[in-house]
Amino acid sequence: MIKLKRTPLYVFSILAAVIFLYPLLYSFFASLKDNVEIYNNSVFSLPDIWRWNNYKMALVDANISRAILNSFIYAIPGTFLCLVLSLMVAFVLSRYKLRMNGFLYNYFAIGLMIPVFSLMIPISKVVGALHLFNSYPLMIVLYGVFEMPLAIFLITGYMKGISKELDESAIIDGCGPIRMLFRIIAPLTMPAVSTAGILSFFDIYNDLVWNVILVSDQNMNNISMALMSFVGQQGSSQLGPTFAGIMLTIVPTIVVYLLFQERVEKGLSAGAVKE
Amino acid sequence: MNKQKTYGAIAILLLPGLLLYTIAFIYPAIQTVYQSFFDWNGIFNVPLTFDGMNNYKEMLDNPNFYRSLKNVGLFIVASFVLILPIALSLALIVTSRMRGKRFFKVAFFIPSILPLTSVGLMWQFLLKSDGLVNKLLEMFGLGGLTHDWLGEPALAIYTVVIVNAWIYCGQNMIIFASGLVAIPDDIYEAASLDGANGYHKLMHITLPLMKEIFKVFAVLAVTQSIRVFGQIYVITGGGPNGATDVPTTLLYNEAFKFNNFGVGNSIGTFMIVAALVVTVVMNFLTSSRSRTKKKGVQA
Repeated sequence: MIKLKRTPLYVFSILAAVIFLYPLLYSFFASLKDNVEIYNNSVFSLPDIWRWNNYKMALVDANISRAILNSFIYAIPGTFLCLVLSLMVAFVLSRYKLRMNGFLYNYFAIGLMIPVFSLMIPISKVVGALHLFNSYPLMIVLYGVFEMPLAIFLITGYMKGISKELDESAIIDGCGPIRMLFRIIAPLTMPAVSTAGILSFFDIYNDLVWNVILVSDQNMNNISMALMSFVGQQGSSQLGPTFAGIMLTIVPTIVVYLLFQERVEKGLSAGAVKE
Repeated sequence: MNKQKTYGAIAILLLPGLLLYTIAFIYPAIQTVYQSFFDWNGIFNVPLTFDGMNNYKEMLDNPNFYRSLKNVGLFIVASFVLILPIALSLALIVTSRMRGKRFFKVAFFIPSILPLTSVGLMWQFLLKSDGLVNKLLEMFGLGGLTHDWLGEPALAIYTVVIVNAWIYCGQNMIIFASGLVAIPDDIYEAASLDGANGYHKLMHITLPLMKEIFKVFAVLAVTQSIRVFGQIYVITGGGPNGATDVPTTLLYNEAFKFNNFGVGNSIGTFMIVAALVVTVVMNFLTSSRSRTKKKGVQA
C-alpha cells in the first residue's frame, strides 16, 4: 500500500466526489423547482417551495410508475430465465468431459464478442413476420438469451472450481444429473449466480434499443422509452417534471446497489472482464 | 446410473439454452451477414432482392461511415488518456487507508450503475446553452468559455466522450481496485525498508504488478468503444448533422429512419467482423506480450 499525503489526497478526493455527485444533486433539486427558479435563480439555490407535484406529474402524466413496473416485468423473469438456462449449460460444460464441450464453450463465447446491436435488423424482421411486436414473453426470452453468454462464462468458471468428488458420491447415492445440479451444485455456485444475476438485471432494466425497435405500445414502455417520449413531448417546457422523471428511474438502481453493494461492484467488474 | 440415462439428462440440460441461443443470437447474426447482400425496404411481406456488393459500396461511399469510425477512435483514445489515469487515481484512493474511503467509493461508482438513458438525458439538459455547465462557467468568471456543448458540430463528440468518461470512470475504478488489493502489503513494506518513496513504489511495484489488469482494460477499451450506442442515441441522436454518429447509431438510422435495411446490415456485418477480429487480435497481442518479459507497463 502506498502512503499518500493527507491534505492533497483529501482535496482531490472531495473534488472528484463533487464532480461525480453534484450533477445528480443539482438534478434532484431541479426536480423540485419550476422553470423560473431553474433558469433565474443561482444554481446552488434550494427550491423556494419543494414542488413534489413535479413527481406526481412524472408518475402520472409520463406514466413513469408503469414504466418502472414494466422494467421489472422484463428484468426479473428475464434474469431468472437467463440464470436457469445458463446453470444447466454451465453444468454440462463444467462437469462432463464431452468431446463437443470445447466447441460449445467457444460457440457461447462468440456471444460475448458480437455486439447485440448488429442483430437489430434480422430480429425486428423475424419478430415482425411473426406478428410478435409488443409481446412481454418475447421480450423476456430475448433479454434472457442476450444475457446468457456472460452468465455461462461466469458460472462455468466458478463451477469448475467445485470439487468433483461431490458428483461421485452423489452418483453412488443414485442421484441423477438434473437433481445433482439443482440440489447440490447450484447452491454451491450461488456467488457466481448472484453476480451474473445482478449484472443481467441491470442490463435488462436499463435496456434501450430492444424496447425502441420491438415495442410500440406505450403501456409496455420501459424506463428508457418512457423517459425519452416524456422528454420528446414536452422538451424544455417543464424541466421540473422532466428531472423528476429522471430521478424516479434512477432510484430503483440506487436501492439495488445499496442493498447489494459488494455483489454489484463485483458484478460490474466481472461483467467488464467479459471479453 | 447407466450411460444412456446420463446422456438423456445432458440433452435435457443443454438443449433449451443451446436452441434459444442459436435461434435468438447466432441465427440473427448469420442473417445480418446474409441480408447484407440484399436490398429490403422494411415491409415484412416484401421479399428481399439480391443486390450483390452494392450495400457495401454505399456504406464505403458514405463519408458519415468514416466519421463514425473516427468517433469510435475518439472513444478508444479517451479510454486511455482520460478514463485510465482518472480511474486508476480513484482506485488508489479507495484502496488506501484514508478515512471515508467507503463513502468515496460509493460516490465515484454511482454514475456507472445508473440507467444510461436517465443519465444521458440529465446531461443533455445540463449541457444546453442555458444549462448548469454554462451557468457554472459564468459564475466562475469563465463566461468566455460557454458553448452550446452538444449543438456545435465540432464540439459535440468531445462533449459526449467526456460525459461517457464521467459515467464509466467508477466502473473502471473497481476493476483497477481489484488489481490493487491483490498486491501483497509486504512488498510495499520491504520497499519502504529499502528507502523507496511513494512515487518509486507506484512506478516499480504497483504499475508492473497491475499488468494483467491493464491488459484487460486495454481489451475492454477497444471492444466497449465499438458498441457505444445509448450514450449517443440519447444525448445527441447522432447529431448535429451526423457529427456524433457511431456505427451503431448509423446502423439504427439507416435501417429504422431511412428504411435502408440493406446498408444497415452491411454496417452490422462490418461490426460483427470488426468485433471478432479486434477481440482475437487484442487477446493475441496481450497474451504474447506477457511471454516476452518487458519492463514497465504498456496499456
